[in-house]
Amino acid sequence: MKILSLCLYQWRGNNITEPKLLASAFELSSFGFFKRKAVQEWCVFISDTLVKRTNESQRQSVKENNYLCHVHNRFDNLACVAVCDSEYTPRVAFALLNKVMDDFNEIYENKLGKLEEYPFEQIGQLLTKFQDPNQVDKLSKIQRTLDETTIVLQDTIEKVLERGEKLENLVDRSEVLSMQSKQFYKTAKKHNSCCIIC
Amino acid sequence: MEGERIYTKLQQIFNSGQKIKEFGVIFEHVSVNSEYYPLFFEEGNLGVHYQNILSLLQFSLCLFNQRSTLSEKEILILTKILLLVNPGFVTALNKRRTYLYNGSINPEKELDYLDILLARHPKIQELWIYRFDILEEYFKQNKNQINNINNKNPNNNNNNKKENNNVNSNSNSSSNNNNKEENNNNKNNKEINERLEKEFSICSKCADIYPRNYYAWTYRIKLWKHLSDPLSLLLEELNVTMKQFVKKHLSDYSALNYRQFLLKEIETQLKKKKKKKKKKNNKMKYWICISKNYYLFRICNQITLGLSRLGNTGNLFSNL
Repeated sequence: MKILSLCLYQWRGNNITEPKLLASAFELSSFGFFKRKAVQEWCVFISDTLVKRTNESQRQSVKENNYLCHVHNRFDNLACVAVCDSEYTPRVAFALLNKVMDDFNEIYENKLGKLEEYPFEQIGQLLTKFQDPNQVDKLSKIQRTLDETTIVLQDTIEKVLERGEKLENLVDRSEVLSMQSKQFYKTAKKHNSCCIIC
Repeated sequence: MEGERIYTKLQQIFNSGQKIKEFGVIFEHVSVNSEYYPLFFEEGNLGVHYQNILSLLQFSLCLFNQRSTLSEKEILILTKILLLVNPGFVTALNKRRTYLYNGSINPEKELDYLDILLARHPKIQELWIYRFDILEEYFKQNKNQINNINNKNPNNNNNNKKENNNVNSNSNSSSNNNNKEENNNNKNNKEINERLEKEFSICSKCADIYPRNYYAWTYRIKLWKHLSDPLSLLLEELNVTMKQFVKKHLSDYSALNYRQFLLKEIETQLKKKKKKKKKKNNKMKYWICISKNYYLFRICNQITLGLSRLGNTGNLFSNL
């Protein structure tokens, strides 16, 4: 029951073509030293793709191997993605996404697009706080009752992509992923499972 | 030959005595100027480029086939490097086992070496079996050390020291000698407990990496045989460590199976002590634990079903 990464983006409005990463936090201590960098890049890559493929004011949960990615694209040009494992309760994950965006708005209300950098340290603290969903304040959990929009659940990340788009092409074209991650993806695909040597 | 070059570099690193925390495969080339080119070695993290692994493996296998011509030291290093790349290679593992029983391998260092292998491949059965053998050897050697120190005292010729500070009352030793023995036994206990703590942490780590890891959990069960007075530790394990673990890993039924083992073990320990008051309190805890865990309840149901079919009422429930 853990959250791997938490990424906050600015998306739509003010001449933005790509989602702009405002703040991010990662919890990758369960991975070996050599895998951490690759996993971090993958989390950012998946978050990028999901933000682009989620409509405005929509929440989605996408399954990828044994991880579940929760994305919430809000009306005020903010989008937030959390990559968790399959045991983490989705309701708490969406409560976390809401909290991150609310906290960000408290500091930077109406300043989106005007500043260059948005230092937001609370994102790291929230990630560690929410690692144990039982300890999270129960009142705030109940208060953030989900509104009428339902959560869309997707089985694989391929279903989020547009028609004719393939994950391999996205991987190749991506600037976020280093050579290492791309190579890892290709070799993993070849063996049809996680690379045997790795 | 690339394989040979990497082999000699690895040999260098192992012989230098530096501590290796992790081994991994890297996808980026290391700069030519770095100290351990073509290997990556920083802060205990050792990495080999994925294109070099095959040549390294071929070279080491070739050497291994000629092992009858090699000296003991060379074979030790060879098997170490071979097992890094292919930890499932049982012949090399058995070779190391013979050297372990020979006395050429230090059990503690071997346990640290196995940590590296298990962090990458937590579900290889042969590694866990080997780990258990090393642990037994480690405890044997510890006992022998203590016996040797105690036997040096002239008044204690016929004593067989156990781990539990049971000093023979017939001995005419002076109080100084008694204190020395107690200190030695205390040190022994501390060392044993420290080592067992490390083993428990390795088991949890491997269970974290690969959920429902049967081998890690059965190894954890076997560890309890080495403790002399386990009741308080058992209770702590049940109420603190396992509670946290089970909450974090909801669908890990192997962890719940382990909890069941702890409950049974507590019962047997209590029977040994024959204290009825404590028994009642633990009965309450027993039922509270069951009512909190749905999976455990199901497992218990299945056990009682199975036992009733066999015709036994089952010790578990008849006493309650």
